[in-house]
Amino acid sequence: MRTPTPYRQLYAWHRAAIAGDERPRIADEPQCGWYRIKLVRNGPWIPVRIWCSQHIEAATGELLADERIFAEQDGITVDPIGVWTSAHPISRKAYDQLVELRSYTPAMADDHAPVDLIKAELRP
Amino acid sequence: MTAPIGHNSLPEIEQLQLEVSEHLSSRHEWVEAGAETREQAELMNDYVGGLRALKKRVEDMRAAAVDPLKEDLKETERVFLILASKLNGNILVLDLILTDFLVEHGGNIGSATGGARTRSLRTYRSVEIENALKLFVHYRDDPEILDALTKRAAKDVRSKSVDSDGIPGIRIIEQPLIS
Repeated sequence: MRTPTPYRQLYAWHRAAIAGDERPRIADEPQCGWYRIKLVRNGPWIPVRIWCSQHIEAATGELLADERIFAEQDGITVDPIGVWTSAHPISRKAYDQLVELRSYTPAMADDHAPVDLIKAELRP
Repeated sequence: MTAPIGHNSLPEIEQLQLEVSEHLSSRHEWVEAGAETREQAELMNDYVGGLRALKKRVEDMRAAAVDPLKEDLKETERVFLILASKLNGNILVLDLILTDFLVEHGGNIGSATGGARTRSLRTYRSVEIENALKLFVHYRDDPEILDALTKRAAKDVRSKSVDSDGIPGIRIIEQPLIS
């Protein structure tokens, strides 16, 4: 019987990175967690989430299919290997705040342009 | 059409005044909210980044407006000065809050949006003299010190009737010079 990888193992790299102990990255082994990425200098942070899809039999807890790693960048599915090496790990709370901040900050709308902080209309 | 550099039109300045006023409208909210968490500090850093960008715009427009032939130069200068001083005051206050945060929590303050530069603490070192004679002996051969001493002595020699006995360690050179 195949068993799913436990969450603590899937998120171990991310948890350590957040605690200040970022271990070396292996390019083709993206690690589950919450991140932010920038496409241009002074451009807006874009939220990135990497997670593992596990198809589990509810009654037995058996893994019914191979586990697969997925990633989304600002809600759009992207290649996890492509995004992982340049993404900065952030806490889940910071990720949620970034998603919220982008939703009401038009100055962060263009991923390929520097953020105009004068027009950002930020509030504490 | 944008006015060429050196010819800021009044509407441009009014537009700038409006932008500064709009940006500063939330200044009390930022001071009241403070920076307890890193997330708050990062967002405040972005707001300060906006203030700094506006200050740079004010300075750039002021430099472009320097045209001695313009009659309203003094008035224009006054407007720019007020805007720059308003922005500066608020940058200083918020930078103090961010400094307190860094002193307490360490690390640095990034940007919540991505647009502001990362802020960190640097140590500013300065000096207070405890023993001037010891200090002078240490620097006695330093060209900058010798140059400063030469200028200081020359000032006394030129303005007062002081001879080389009055100032030890110098030789007075007198040469004819047409005036």
